[in-house]
Amino acid sequence: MNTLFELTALELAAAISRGELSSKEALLFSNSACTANADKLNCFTSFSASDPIAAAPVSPLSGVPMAVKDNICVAGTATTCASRMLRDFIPPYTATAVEKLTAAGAVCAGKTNLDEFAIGSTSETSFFGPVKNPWNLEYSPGGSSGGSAAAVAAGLVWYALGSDTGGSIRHPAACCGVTGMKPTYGTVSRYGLVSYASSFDQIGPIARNAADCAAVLDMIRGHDGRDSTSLPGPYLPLSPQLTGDLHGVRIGIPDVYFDEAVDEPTRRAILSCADTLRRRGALVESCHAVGLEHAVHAYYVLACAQASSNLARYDGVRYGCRAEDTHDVQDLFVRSRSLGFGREVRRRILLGTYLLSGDNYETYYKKAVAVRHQVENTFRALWHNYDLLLTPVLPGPPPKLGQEANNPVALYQEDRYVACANLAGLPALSMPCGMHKEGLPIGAQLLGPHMADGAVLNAAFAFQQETDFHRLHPPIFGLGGDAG
Amino acid sequence: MTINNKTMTDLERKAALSLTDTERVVLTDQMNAVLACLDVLRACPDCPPAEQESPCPLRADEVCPSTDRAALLSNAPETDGTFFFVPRTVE
Repeated sequence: MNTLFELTALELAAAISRGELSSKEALLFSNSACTANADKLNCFTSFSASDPIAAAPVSPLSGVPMAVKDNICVAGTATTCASRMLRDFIPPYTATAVEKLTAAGAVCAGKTNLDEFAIGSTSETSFFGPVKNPWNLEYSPGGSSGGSAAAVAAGLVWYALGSDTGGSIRHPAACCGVTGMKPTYGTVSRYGLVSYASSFDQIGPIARNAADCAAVLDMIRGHDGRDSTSLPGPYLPLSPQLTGDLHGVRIGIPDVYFDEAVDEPTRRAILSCADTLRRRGALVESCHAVGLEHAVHAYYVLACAQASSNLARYDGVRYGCRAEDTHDVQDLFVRSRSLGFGREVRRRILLGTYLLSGDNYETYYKKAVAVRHQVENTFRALWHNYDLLLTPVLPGPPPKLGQEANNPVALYQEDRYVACANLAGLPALSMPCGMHKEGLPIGAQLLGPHMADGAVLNAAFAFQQETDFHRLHPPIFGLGGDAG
Repeated sequence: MTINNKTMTDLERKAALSLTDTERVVLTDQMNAVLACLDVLRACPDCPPAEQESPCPLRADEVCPSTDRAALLSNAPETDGTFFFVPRTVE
């Protein structure tokens, strides 16, 4: 039965559809793997007790066990955001993305661990303790969707939902050697996603390969009147766009993201990735991009400002933890929030409060908004000459656990390769493309214009037809092996 | 130094948070380091947004059913079954 973990989500669904195994057997297999390994990784916050309903397949992924990041609401199931603040919160409604997956026959194995309120990029700030990288337990799995990426990489589930505000799907996908996609902003409803920075937040899939990501996105995309930023479409199905043909596709490698900070193994892996894409017919060349240099700085100003506003709702009155023996309402607010929020969340709230106060609004916030517009203009100009862009996801291996906990500047800088896609609302994908000598995966990022999610996925699909990096499993959990 | 002890105390009040003395020292240092990094934004030129209409349609201004009251109250730390409870605000 170990060969089940060699299958992708689509392959497992096909096996279920052919009657080679039942969805209940697949879930039992997943539950057994979770029981044996989830503690080692600390990648789940809770497990689902629901049994799959035996029924005719209703979608290409019917009956396949998956997981949901624990900042996405599932009615009747604890949604903690990995925070003491929400440790007992049971949402009365279900996120649209989960509703759609459930209607499509998905089987939820559990909720995955994350950085508290999805704020962070190491999955260490969880109230429930840090998630560990399945490739090396001493390293971070990246974040904030570290639990989702680790669970997929370790073969505990076949795909998972994550959320991406400043790289929180792509960063952990790269660190864990799986494929993760942040779709175009507005194409997947944010209804039921606990807000961090609303103008960037987006739900997306983490899976073994691009084809699985496309299948998941085909199920969860679409307009939703309950999300005022939801795009009306049209939504062309993504899976049929995966032809693997890249003839005539122009791919740029922006020099600003290929600088001296990128280590040699990552540089070689990205260049090798470019060669593979050329073999599939793409025209790949270096390009000059002016106006992206300060994207990560703008991202942090805007994300902290939005976080300080969004997280003001946690006051110990309507939901969330409440301090005892408070003497007035202000005391209730202050003590409940101080008790419920962890250090990184408090740091971002205080920074956001500072950036929106007095003259700082002009000095930082309005400048950050201007840089965001500049970033959008830069990409708009790049799309005249290129169909896609290729960049690293992070400049080197993921940090060791605890390595950067007290160095927020170093941690924030790690997001410089991924945050630009959130600023401009673009579709972006991370896929495994090599290995560091420490035995940790290297990720490549593909970005495309608005609504070009299919083109991004097709380039990744083409790459994965030529290579086997996406089929590697962490040696301690799976099958190991060499990639080509 | 951009943030000092007085500024931090003011931020705590605005954000409805309370730090210990040790936390205040550590966070002040860390936030100043972050702000030093963000200072590059000061020199960035203004850049107006491109003219475009929002692609997102507005929904009809109609009264719709909302979440059930009992379900909303079920997560509250303290209620009387109809309202949320907070400490007395008027003596």
